Amino acid sequence: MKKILVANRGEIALRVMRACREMGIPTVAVYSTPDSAALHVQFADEAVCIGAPPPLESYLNIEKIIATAKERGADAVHPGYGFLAENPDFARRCEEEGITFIGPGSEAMRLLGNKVESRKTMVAAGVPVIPGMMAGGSDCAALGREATAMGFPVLVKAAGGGGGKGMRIIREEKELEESVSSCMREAKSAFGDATIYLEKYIEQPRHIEFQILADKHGNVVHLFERECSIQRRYQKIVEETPSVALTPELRQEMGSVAVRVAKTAGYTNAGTVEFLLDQNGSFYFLEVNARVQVEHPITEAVVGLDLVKQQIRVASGERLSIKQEDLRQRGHAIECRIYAEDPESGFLPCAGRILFVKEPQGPGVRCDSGIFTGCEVSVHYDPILSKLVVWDETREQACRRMASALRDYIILGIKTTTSFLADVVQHPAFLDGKTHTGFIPMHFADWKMPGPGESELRMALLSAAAFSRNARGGPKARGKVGAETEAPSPWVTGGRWRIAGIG
Amino acid sequence: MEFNFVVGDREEKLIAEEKEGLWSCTVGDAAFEAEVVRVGPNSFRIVSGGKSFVTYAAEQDGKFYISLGGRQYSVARTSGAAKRRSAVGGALKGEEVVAAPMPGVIVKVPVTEGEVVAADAVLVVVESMKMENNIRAQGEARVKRVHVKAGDSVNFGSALVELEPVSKQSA
Repeated sequence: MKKILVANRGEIALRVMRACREMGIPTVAVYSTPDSAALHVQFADEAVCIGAPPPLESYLNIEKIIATAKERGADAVHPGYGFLAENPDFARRCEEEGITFIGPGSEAMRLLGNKVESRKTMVAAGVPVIPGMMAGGSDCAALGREATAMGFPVLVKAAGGGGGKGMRIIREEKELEESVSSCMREAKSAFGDATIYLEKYIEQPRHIEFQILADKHGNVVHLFERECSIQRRYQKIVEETPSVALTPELRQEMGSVAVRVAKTAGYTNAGTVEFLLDQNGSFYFLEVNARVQVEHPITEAVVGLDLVKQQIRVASGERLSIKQEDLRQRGHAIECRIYAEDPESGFLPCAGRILFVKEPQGPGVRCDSGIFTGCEVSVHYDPILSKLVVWDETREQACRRMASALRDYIILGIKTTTSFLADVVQHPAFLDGKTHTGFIPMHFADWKMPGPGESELRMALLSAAAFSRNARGGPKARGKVGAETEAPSPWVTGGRWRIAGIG
Repeated sequence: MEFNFVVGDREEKLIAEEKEGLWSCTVGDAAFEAEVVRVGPNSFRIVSGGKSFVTYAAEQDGKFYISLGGRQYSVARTSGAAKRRSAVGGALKGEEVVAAPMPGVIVKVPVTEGEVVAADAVLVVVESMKMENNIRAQGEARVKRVHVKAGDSVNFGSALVELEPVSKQSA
């Protein structure tokens, strides 16, 4: 590959560009107008503005992105995750234009990207699926009859994409119409396809997924599991590997099913086969995420492979150089997703300016970030800011390392999930491995940031006072008492002040 | 120097004298001393009572953001924007201005002016960062005014709808 256009923004665009640079491949960034100073634009060898902030006018604008790739001589496109990553029309347009799409072929994507179609195919191949799923559609009366037939509660999901966008639990028939129409609007807005589907809701399952890697010569391996049970709004916020719930036998069985899923679909490149694992140890195929996953770094940490480089090699036609029997899981890795959200009020998104960022460092700590001091977090895009990934020898040590790294992750100016996540990874039930998809609602429904203790209060007040006094002078202004006291300080003349936990 | 704060629901007063980075302070009845060293544009090392702290601070629109020990706190003037916003709401006796809890784009306004809505009814659907958020009525009310329509962009705190008690008009 001579040049790769990265059709994404934020941390994943940077992640892909780093791999490209290390492989000696120049990159082209595309960006919307407010992203002109974004990190991915700064990192790329070339950057092209492709439109206005709404995704449909820029990051989802297929023709504009194709035209930019051709104009800049990019012979491959990496879509990252989200946006166009699982849009078969985009993959097909790339194929038509002779541009290598770094991901699965459009036909496999079309099959797997549609949960209804992929379920039919997998049932035929003997893959276990969740009971009671049905064909997609948007006729509310028909959906109501199907839901009643399978029995409430049911889940309504977008047929055309993942990430929990649009997903809702419906416990009673009277909730159906509102939930279905909201789901359809979110599906239309996020994926350009309003088709939805229903399935029987399984109580307190674990979310277990298998990373797969497939070349264009029929070779498929799995890179073991990730457990992603810790979710809010049906979207993962903490992921880990290995899962405490898998025995070696179950791991092998699920892994071979994952490989069978990939082979059945004619899948190539990196992908993820998602399963639900119920409390009796039965597992059900959910869907295939036909893209590099947000949580791919934890797999990289325990198997010692660079998944993005593998994607690029496989896409350019190379054979997989790894065999299943050579793969081992080493140690334990955890990822926490840092979102611009307020965990004290239902994880409402919090856009705004980031005033200061300091990322954690240290052995076994990786921070994949798309933010910097002074950047604006836009209302137009997903509120993910960065991903903090730790590796350590054991799960217990990895939990401690994560808690320590989160404590060192300073983001000022907007609300984020760092403090909340530190409490999650130190919760006794989490440390015991008693994780399931209802973990956050069960243990953290009313979470509040602890208020300052006596000494924290003093230090917070003092810090605000000291920051205010020295704000213009920088570090050297310290100690210049005479000059400072000449001018009236806002701290002397100002009114009352309020201190509280953020939120 | 004298600083008046509100901590949670409690008022706190910080009295401080600073000389060469050494601060002599009183918070409430307790006096303490602290050595404050600015170690970066936004970070301080503070030694007080034999303990060492590292704190991070930033400021925007009169509001300070402080991080220490992995927790974040905000310190703001009560005469700032937040106070003014709540004053507008408070001025409407028995009525309520429902404000946007986040910046975003209005997806849908399922209510119309004059309509009586039940508790928990969806008043406005706001999309922010790809998620739809239902803004609901706290209790039964009549919709007095609707300020937004589908497609409008709103900021944090923008008025969405005004509600009034149901009894008021029927009386």
